[in-house]
Amino acid sequence: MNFKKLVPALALSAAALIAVAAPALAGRTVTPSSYKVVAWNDLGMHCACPTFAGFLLLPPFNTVRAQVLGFGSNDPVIIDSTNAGTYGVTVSYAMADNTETTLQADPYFQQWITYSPKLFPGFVPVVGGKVQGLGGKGISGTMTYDSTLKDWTAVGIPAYPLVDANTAKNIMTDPLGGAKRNPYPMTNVFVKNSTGTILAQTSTVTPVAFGGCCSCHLSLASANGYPATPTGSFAYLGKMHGMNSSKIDFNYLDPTGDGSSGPIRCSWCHWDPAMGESAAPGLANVWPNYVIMAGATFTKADVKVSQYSFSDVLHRFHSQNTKVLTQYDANVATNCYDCHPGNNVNCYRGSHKAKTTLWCVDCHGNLNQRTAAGQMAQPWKASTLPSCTAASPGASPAFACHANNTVNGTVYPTSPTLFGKFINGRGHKGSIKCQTCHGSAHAEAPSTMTLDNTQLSTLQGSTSYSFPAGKDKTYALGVCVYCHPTKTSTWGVPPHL
Amino acid sequence: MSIANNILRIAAALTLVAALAAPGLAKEKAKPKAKSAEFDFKKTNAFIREMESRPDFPVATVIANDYVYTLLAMGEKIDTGRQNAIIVSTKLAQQKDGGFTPDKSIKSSSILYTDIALETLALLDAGNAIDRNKVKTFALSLKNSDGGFGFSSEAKKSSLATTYMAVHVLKAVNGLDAVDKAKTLEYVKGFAKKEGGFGPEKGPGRPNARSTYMAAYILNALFAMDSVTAKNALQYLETTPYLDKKSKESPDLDEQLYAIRALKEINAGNRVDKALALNFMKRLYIKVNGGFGPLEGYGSTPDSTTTALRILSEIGKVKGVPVQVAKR
Repeated sequence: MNFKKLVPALALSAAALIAVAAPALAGRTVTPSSYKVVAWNDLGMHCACPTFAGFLLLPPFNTVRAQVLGFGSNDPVIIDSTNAGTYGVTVSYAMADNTETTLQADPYFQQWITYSPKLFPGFVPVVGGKVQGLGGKGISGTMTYDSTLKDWTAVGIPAYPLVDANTAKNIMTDPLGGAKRNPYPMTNVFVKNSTGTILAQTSTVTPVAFGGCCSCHLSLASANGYPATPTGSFAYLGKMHGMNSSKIDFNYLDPTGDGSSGPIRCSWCHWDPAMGESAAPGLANVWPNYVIMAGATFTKADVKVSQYSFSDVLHRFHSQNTKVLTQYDANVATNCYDCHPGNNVNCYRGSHKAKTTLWCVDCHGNLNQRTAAGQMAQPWKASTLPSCTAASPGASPAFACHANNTVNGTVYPTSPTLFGKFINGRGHKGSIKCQTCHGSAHAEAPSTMTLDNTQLSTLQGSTSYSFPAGKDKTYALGVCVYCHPTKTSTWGVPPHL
Repeated sequence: MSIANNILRIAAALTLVAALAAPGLAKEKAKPKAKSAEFDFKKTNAFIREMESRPDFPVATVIANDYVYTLLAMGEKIDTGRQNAIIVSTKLAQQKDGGFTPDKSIKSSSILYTDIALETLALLDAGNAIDRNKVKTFALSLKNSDGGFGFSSEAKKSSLATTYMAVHVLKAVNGLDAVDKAKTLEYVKGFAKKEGGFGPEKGPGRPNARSTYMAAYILNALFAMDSVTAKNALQYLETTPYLDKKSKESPDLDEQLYAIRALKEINAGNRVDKALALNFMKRLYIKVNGGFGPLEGYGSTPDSTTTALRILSEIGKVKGVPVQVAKR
């Protein structure tokens, strides 16, 4: 066997042995004397809508994840739900910029409080004076250990872009003409002992922003004889929807039977796994006594569950509709920021952006490619996501992906089967989440936004740490001594396997 | 596939390779560089040139157009190699039916991308690099019985925007004689609004500057602009934030461009409020990278930067103004 081939083979074999042994790391019983915690947002950006009276595109729903390490010997212990119980520690979070007062006083969020029970029957948005998210989490609370994904999570935090008292944070334009808002609220994550003493803490960005929808749809409504308001836009959207094969003008849907139209949730009929659903429930199953209002040109027989996912209809329509292409954007298939937050906010702001002209479509494919590859028939499936080693199926990246990983001069092939899809992937003996070291997807370290880099700058901020030329403390977690007390304090690329 | 077809394909490929290699195919475009106290065009130049580093440069029909227009507007030089790459890429986007596609992955041509591709080639003095007769045939194939033109062979329905693009393309390839003038004029006039301008849809709905410009362009191209239509259009444009300083409506980048162009089409170019437009551009300018955003408070994009440069060209704020060939 050729030596060059032998090295990676041996490395893989060793990695396999280590991976098998890795779970044991989490099972040690030596009580840690100290803890460290690293947190991140799961996607790097979440969208939310400024209005909820007509229909729901996306609700306030953010997810923070964290890994906790316990230190008592040279190698840290991964803190999971089992040993956390043994050691008597809890992991919790608290939003720093969204408060109960500011959130509940915000006029846009008040709409969410008003209409969300109609959008999600049974859901109570405020319990005991505290805002609750769709997953039961508020703006502060305990994180739970996800034994599948191997991290501590707070799923569905109702984070929302508010007008912050610190006006410097208000960089997001309000498409409805209101004051600018803060799209990067911070969340603190704590490790506490049984008496509530903070043993470790960190802060991560909980990004949430309005998309670009309103900037086109308000003028679209106006151009078609409707007021340039969310209400007018909803009315015209309903009319357009009524002109497609479904025949359903959703202005005539009264879900609750209270005599007024809306609000409706698109994913009642269009399957949307982003809402945690594996199938569309159908309006009749959500609101059995819904009413079709007078003047409608469709009947209950027309109100069916669509065969198309919400992601599919939304993306395919916009990339193929001639009105969109000729009146709004000829390049909409690649201009993701037309809809996704780009209004002085950037979904995509990580190191990929800083170092190359890599664009969203290089990893995910443009809308035409995504449609052709059938990606949007299975949205959010891991099979449609890009990984570090390859772009999504159907995409034609203009840049090479990360086929290997060089550690101390040795080149190791990267393994998609080991690392998965970055989001939720793990490496470094199979124990450390990719995002623990590299930061949130789309905001990978070093991010082009300072706030994203705050956490790593703090974690790697010791003056005893040194960095090679061209690297600094904002780079991915790479100072070995941060986790391994007897190892080097010079930043480097750790073994990824 | 026949041997003859294969030979033709090989010949075409060799021609393209030769085009890439031939320094003489495209004349280097160098114009006086734009200077401005308000904008750092060195940064704008660098921002637009970021796309040069892409191995798939020029990426797509629209992006090639953005690149060419913006650099020429600023008086920047486009090297011969990149000019040739753009010309070859644009040629490859022309399909058998004569129309152009948004990028190489799409085989369905449309009047939209045909219009854009023609402008790019014209800006590079390479209008004859493609089969113009096929372009004419393609545009005419989209003609509908209502006098309007459709988007593509699949999306046949007429609209004001696609009719404008077809007329624009046909004018560029000397094909206006094939337009049924009376029918097309009747179709276009159906978009007139009570406010005085034209809207994107027939029936109720407000006018906008884009549609007003498009309608006015068609009327002029078909030698049918009349004083009443021009007067009504001006009456509407005077209510927009591009002429009315007291307007409460937020200005929009595209609409700003079309308002200026509409005024010129109705022979009211002297009414363009250059100061208002310049101030708006200043508010859209992103100092950190030299680009322009589509709305105030938004980040910069190549598309919106190109549109901003088109506006600055229209108001004479960039010295390297390219010949205005097309008006998308």
